[in-house]
Amino acid sequence: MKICFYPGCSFATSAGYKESTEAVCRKLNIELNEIPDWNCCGATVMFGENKLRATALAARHFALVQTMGFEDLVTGCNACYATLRKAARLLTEDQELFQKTQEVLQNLGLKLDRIPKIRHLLEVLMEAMPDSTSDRYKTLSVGAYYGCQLTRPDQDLDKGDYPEILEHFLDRIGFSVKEHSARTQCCGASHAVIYKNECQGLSQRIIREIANKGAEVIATICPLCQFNLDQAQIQDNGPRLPVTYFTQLAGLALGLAPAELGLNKLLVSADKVLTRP
Amino acid sequence: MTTQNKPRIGVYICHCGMNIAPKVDVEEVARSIQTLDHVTVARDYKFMCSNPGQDMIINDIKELGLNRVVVASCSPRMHEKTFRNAVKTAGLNPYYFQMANIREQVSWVTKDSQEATEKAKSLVAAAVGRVFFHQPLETREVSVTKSVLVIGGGIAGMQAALTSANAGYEVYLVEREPSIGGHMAKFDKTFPTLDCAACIMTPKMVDVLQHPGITLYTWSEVHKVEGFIGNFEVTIKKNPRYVDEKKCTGCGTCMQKCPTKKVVSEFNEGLSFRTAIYTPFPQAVPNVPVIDADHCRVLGQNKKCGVCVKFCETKAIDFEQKPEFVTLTVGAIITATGFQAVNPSGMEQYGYGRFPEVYTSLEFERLNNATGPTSGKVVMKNGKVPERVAIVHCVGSRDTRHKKYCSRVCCMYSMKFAHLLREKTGAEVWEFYIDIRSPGKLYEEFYNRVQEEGVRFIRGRVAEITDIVDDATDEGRLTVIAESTLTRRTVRVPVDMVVLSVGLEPARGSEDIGRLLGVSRDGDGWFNELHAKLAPVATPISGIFLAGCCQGPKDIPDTVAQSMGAAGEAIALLAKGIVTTQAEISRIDPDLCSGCKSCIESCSYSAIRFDEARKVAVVNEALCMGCGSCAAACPSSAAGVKHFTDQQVMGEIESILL
Repeated sequence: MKICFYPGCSFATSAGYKESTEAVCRKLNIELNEIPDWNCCGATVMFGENKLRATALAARHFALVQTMGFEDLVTGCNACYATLRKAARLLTEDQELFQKTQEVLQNLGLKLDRIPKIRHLLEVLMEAMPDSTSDRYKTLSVGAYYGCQLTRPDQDLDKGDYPEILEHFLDRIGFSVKEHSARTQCCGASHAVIYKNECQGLSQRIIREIANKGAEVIATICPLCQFNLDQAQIQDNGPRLPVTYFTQLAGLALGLAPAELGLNKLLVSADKVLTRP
Repeated sequence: MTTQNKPRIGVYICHCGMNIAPKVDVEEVARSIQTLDHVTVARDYKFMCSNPGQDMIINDIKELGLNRVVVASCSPRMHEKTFRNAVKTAGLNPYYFQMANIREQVSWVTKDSQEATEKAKSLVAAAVGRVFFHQPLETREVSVTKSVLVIGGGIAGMQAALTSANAGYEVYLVEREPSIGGHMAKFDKTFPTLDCAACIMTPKMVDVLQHPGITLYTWSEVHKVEGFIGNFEVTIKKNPRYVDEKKCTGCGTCMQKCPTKKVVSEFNEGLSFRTAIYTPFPQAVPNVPVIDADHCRVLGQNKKCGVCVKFCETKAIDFEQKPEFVTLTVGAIITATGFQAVNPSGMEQYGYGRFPEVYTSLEFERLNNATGPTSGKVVMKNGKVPERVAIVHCVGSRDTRHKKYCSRVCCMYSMKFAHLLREKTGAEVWEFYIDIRSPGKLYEEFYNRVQEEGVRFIRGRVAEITDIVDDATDEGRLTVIAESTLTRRTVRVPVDMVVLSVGLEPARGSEDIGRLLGVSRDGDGWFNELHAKLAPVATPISGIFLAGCCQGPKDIPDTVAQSMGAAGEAIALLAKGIVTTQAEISRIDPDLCSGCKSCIESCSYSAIRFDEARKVAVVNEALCMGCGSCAAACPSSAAGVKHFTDQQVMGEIESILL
């Protein structure tokens, strides 16, 4: 399978997301075709600043996806996912905005004829991962953490406040899933940089809830969530839970080595839970 | 058209107070219409429907020798009958009348005054062009069968049945559940007087059962409805009870002995179990159990059991029962199909289904009820008495994601819960509301009373109910999070129990009932009344009336009042004993009919039969509804609808175009 991949700004520098995604895709024969010369998605700030610019930033990728000959655009970041989807929706709904965006693209020598379907990497792996045949991780209890942007504001992938897709994924690939109530609670997102103290509390609240419900490991699907939850534990006396990417757990399920999946990059070490027999 | 019947048309333009004038320049319309051929007089007047307005028409007919009348005013649905009667009073055939709607179709929907005036002129001219070709038509009188069908045996249907039967008419009451009683039978107390629901309800149920004029069909459904006002042909499907009603004494031994004991109780909202042979509650009427075929070992699982058969002394158990169909003729139908509570499962922020201590209001009613799963003790699933309870208003109501409307009863029943909780448990009670709606007799006083009883009110929609522990005191509790819009602060209240005050939606199956009866439903699924203010219990289908929540959310006092109103309408119809059939029905010209039978296939009312001797189709005037399907289907233009002839319709269109 070939997919058109938009990494976004945090993918390469995050703790093992790139390594694990690439390793898992290699194993599953998924060819990751990165959009050449991709730019910032605009994140959540740009729509508040300037609607046309925000849409144009996203639309440039849509045009590039088209020149690459793909129908779908896959990203592994919740912020990219939400932003690209918002732009796609606006371009479909607002004819005037579409025209203006087209003019911007024209200056770049691009033309937008069709808007690609925006998909999260989780959806792709949901389809591609084989069912587990081993009991190796059956005793490892994982808490799934979604962050805020996968199902909100659009809820077409799963239920808004209480999604379950990641739990289904983890269960299917052989982990024990612990239900908890913090799955879409706010981690502080990018505010963690400016309002550090307030956001520490938000992230620590999530960690404690997941630990309270008996999970030993957290699975995330977004670089910022992973970073916030991981670093918040360093300055807290609370429970210590390794915060992994779902791709790292997928890699383990496929029998890949922890080092190959970048698991050594986590701030809260995963060794203790992952290296058991 | 004979010369003595040479059209002399009178045209009357209504101002409708400030509704049509001044948007439409009514004087200009009258001036313009006056110049048309055959128009003898054109006038405008403030209120044509008023007595002086009608007198103006009557006098003109008499003094100016008018033989056609056009009134340009509101919708014919509003006043066509009024003006036809006026025309008739003056001695003309009432069908020498045509109405132009220049209110709903012009003044209310047109911005520009000049444009509105031009449009009004066109429509009035069209009415003049049409009335020119009108023919006198006659109606016929048909006798009415003096009986009523009531659909639904909740408090609405029971009251409608009792009122109709007390007037001396035969009533058939159909209820799909094993017992009558509906939702009210599940309640403990009723607001604002705190009457015990059972104390006022159960005697009424017995009255219904014992009333000589009421035939009760429980565990039954309306299967088919044909005919029309005065003579509806109704088929009722009696589902197999597997218990012979005539033999059963209601001793209850079968229910005690039935080995299938773990069937979820619908009546107790899933909070307890029942047996496979059961009555929904001890005071059920009739006190005859039914066997739930899905769960019965004999009927559902093909196993050997027959314990009930063995213990039944009157040999009332009959596994061989089959559905039975009963056909009745009734003069009127009262629909009282009620409501169901909105299911909050999809609203994940409230955690219903995930957190055991989150209850719906109906579940809480059962928890409170002496015949409920806890014998009326308000306790949590762990058996402990709650110390703090949150009540969440507007769950599913006043919410664009769910129901836009206010469900009308939730504020009041929520405050009833608060009072009962304070009284029974002494628990601290927090009500989270958007606005308190207490517009009823003694309702505001009840609101004041519960405030004085120490119930806390937070004005703010609940954002989330969570079991996340943020503080040691949260342990084992649920935290309700809301913004108090009065203090503009986030409120976090750890509680032991949450009650979701869920809204009301039309009962399951009301779509099917609507289809059977031909009664339309609004965007939310409630049955449409004929007129929101002046015909609140009638429907657009003559002879079919509405009672209770099937028309929209209502509390018990309003439901009972409306049910008596619906019964009153039905009684008025039956007491008069005759109905006038409509004159605008189909006519098939035997000289043009080729006998192809296309019309017979197209007729939804089975109103056309084939005359084998003459080889032509013949309309049964008593059954024809004048829908026009036959006229559209007829390849030789033999079929047509009186009062909608080609000539009349073309006359109307030509006047607009020319």
